[in-house]
Amino acid sequence: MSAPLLRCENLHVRFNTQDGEVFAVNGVDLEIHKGDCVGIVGESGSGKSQTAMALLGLLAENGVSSGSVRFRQKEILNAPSEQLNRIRGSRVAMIFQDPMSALTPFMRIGRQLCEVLQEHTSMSREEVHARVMEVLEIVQIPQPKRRFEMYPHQLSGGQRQRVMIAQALLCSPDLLIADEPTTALDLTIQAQILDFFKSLKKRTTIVIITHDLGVVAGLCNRVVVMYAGRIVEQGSIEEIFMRPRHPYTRALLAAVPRPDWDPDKPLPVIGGQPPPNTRLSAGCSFAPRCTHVTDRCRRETPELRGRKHLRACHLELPP
Amino acid sequence: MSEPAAPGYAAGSGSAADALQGRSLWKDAMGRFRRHRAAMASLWVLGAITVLAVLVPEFWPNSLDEVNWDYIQSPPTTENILWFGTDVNGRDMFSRTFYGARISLTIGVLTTLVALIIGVAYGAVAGYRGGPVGDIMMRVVDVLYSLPTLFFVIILVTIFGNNFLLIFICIGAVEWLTLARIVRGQTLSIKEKEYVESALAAGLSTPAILLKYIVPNVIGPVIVYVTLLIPINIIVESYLSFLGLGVQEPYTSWGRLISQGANEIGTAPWLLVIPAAFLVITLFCFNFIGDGLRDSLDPKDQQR
Repeated sequence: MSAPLLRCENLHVRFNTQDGEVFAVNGVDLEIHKGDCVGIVGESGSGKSQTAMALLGLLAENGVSSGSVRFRQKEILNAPSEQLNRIRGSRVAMIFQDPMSALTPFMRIGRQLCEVLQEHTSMSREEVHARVMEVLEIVQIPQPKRRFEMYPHQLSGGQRQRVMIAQALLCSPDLLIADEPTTALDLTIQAQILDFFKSLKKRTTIVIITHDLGVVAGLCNRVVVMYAGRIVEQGSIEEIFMRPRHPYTRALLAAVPRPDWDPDKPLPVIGGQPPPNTRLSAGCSFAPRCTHVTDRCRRETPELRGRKHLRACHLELPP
Repeated sequence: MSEPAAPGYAAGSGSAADALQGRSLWKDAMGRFRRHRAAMASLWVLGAITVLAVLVPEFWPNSLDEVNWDYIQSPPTTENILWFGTDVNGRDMFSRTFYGARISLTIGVLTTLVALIIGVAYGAVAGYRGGPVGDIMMRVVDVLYSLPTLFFVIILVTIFGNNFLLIFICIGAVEWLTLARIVRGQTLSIKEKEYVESALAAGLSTPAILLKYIVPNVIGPVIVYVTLLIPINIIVESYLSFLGLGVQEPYTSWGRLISQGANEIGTAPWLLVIPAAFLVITLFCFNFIGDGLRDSLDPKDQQR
């Protein structure tokens, strides 16, 4: 297998807050290959967004990251911002969760998009304009000529998300990281954007961060399940959805409401709370909520093991 | 747009295509501003004073330093078009008042511009950079703040001599402090906004983010403060002139005219009343415009 596009080894992220340290990401190993479409799933606070932010050096001021992130074999973790700025936006692009607030209100859509190209390329003004129009057509925004002259508040949420995607695609990035791209949109628009992402898979490598297992199932070929700042299971979409090996993944899948679910019965939930991320404790972080828990689980932190289908669990659950 | 169209504002003529044109927050704000009566009236009055300040000293038959021997300290009269009377040296007050307007308005606007540039740049950098560097930058502001403004300007003027250009720089250099604080505060909240994050993720450089993402978004409150800063600076110039540190004879400013008029208050009250009235009207105008801008730039804050 060729070298991965992005390799992340033993990534740790912690935040220094007034209430002490918060451990957001605790040793993530991840490889993303060209042409992949990887879904990172996990509940709120599992560290999936912070992993992505750390990759691009976008952590908040009080965030500290350590470990190694190599993009095309070059170390980029904690690289100087000049080096990161050459990669961000042009080689790796990111789409944020809330399209309503991710566009600056005082700039016309067209100018915001041109800006990015002017920063990264030496195209002439006409070329920049042509490229922006081309991308606006790719993202299927209606009446792109008119939108070009508009301000963000004149567009709907779905249209803004399309503009955000257009911004990400401008420089034809090698890797597109989408942080919950559909969460802030209503259902029909979600479906449209997801369809659009499917067509994007041909153009670029995609990482989608979401807590919506349906999004992952419809889109990705690989799934990474995160819990309490660690990867607990990772594998192809068929493996994870058909033969989950980690109790957390199983519980997650069981908690997805199905159309044939009887509304009089309570929804299946995972009991308890995720562990506080203000301290690191020994043992499996899912142990307090796990139905299969053993003494070993409470003592030893399980390593991620396996060849194609990786999981961090001491148990050998029957498939 | 939720905004109902103002009477006479895009009434009828606005076709569907017009409605779909890009309408910036600024255009919305301007629409609201136009409906703010006091502010619009102030804008007209101020415009008229400015036009007179430009034209009168150039074209008025009585020049500002010509002595009319027959009319020493004459009250306002229609004879010889001495509408505002003459001063103790027989010089035409009409001409002098509008020359004073020219100086006072120029100083008000230019010093504010100096303060604006320094204050916005400093505040935006301090806020965006944050951390210890930002803290140190703001402590410098605190230290400068603790110096009495007048004292500071007087020191600068005495050291560097009495020079028209220097007065701009002195006043501007003192008045940027509050602006820097306002801008820093705004920047602190704006840099956490997602569009700044997305600009970072798009690989834009720090100067580009500061200039194109931060500054346009802080400019609303800043512009309101600026309209209030112009009259403050006119007053600062006035009292510098009053103390004899401003512009020199035969040139004049409102502050200087008022100071000279104050000496003759018993015998020739018009020498004080006329320039003082113009100063007061101008200050009111700027304040009303500031009010109008604040209301129109912050529609959420409307009581009515």
